[in-house]
Amino acid sequence: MTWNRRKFLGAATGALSAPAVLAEGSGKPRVVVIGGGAGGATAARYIAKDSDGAIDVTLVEPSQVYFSCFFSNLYIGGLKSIDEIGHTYGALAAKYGINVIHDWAVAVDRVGKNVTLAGGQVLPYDKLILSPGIDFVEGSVQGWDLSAQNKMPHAYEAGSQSQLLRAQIENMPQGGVFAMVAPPNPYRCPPGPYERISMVAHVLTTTNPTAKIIIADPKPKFSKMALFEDGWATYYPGMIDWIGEDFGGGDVSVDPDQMTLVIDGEELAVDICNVIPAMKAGRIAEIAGVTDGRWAPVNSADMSSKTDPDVYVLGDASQQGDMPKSGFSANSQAKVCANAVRGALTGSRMFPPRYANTCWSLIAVNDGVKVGATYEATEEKIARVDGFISQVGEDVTLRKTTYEESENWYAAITGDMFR
Amino acid sequence: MMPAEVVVLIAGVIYKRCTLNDRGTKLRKAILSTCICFGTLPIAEVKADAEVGDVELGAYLSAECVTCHQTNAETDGIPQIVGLDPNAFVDAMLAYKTKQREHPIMQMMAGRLNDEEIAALAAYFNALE
Repeated sequence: MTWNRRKFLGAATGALSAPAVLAEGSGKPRVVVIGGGAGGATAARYIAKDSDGAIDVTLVEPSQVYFSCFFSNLYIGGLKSIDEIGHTYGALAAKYGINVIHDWAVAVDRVGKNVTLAGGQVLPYDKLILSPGIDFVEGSVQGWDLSAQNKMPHAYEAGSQSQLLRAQIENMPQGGVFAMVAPPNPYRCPPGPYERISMVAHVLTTTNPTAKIIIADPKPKFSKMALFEDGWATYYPGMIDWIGEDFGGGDVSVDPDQMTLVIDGEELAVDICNVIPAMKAGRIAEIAGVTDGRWAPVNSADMSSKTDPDVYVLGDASQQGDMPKSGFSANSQAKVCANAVRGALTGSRMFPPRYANTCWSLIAVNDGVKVGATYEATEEKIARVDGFISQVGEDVTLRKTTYEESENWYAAITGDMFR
Repeated sequence: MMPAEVVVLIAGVIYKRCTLNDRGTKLRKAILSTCICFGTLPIAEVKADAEVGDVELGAYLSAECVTCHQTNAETDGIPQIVGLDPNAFVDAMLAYKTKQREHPIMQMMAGRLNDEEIAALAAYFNALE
């Protein structure tokens, strides 16, 4: 069954007649958002902006600067500077009155309805929004853990890890080997590893044309596979060797000290090893007790946790159905969540959920492709309704336009999060 | 006390006149605020009329647009839609919806908007400064 207008008008009427929830002391309802990425920053901004001061919004984010994972491959490819993918939280505080706290959330008391920070402060909430992104599953790549990330970077949380990987590529010996251990499903940004390979190949084609790229992949296929393989054959012929599940790509171990990679029993000496492990919801979701396995199941109507109606989980950390784990998805989910939270706390008008996603990827300079879909809330999950994908063989003008469109989108979505 | 429906009806007429006479956005916004305060805009009965579109619904729906359309910058790629003439907005959306205008994302996004929602978006973006 899909959500229809009658059902939501009923929900809205209920919200209008229900008394607003007021936190003790402040006189205003309080929302705490944990995680300042595409989900959390968007939710905080929309709740603060649209409630016009009627809700106290606190955003807890350890980093002073948010480096977007989306477009970080373009930084690795030398097409963006690190500053171009870095964003600060100043406007959220100054323009929207959000209380931005740069600290780690370390505990959630869902009975007492408060969050404890590493610095010791306790934040009471009426509604809690968790948007912590991903953490890595320990032991998912034999021989690798976070202590090895300076030798074998994941670069799947952007910033210093991206800078490290780019520096390694710049300093790779001529004719060297770049290896990637690709992640199993589900993971953040399905085309991300393969866009990264494209950008690494783009750099190496110029600086190190005899270098080789090997991908060990536990999956039998991957996002936009035909588009990437076509592009790799066109732009980087003979450079990239993808080893999928059928050829032992999932049977992998690494030795960071020796810089070796074993694929299906065969040991390779590598110069760079980009290990992207299996992923799970950011740790605070587990601490809050809203995960089931690796992810946090949510209700499709409003992104509320299936464990606790006063806790919402956005973006990569959520288990919601068909939407890919992407910044675009998190931003889309955040707006549905913000509308629901505001309605519940202030009686503002509520509207049916609407979800959408588009993921652009760059295969080579000015050769962009995209995949997108719309989604609806069913009782079971967020379900895909309609979609599209770029086609192999599109002309160069369309591909260039698609890339330029992605640059426009980047400016818009980061503005929608931070400005 | 005046029944809410009557308030909405009167406000709607004044609003439309203001729009037609282009007397300025402030008055229109004030009337809309009145409607919104009463919380009684008759959603199901709003016709697909770009000039009386449900601005509050439009504001909600617009969140989907501004993920790609910048609201505060001129661009030479994804077009600026803030302040767009409501009739031009409706025409464009219907052209995407019926696939007479090319663009896979816009065809997809417009394809799931009904007339009321398109009118709401048109009214919202027209009112936005």
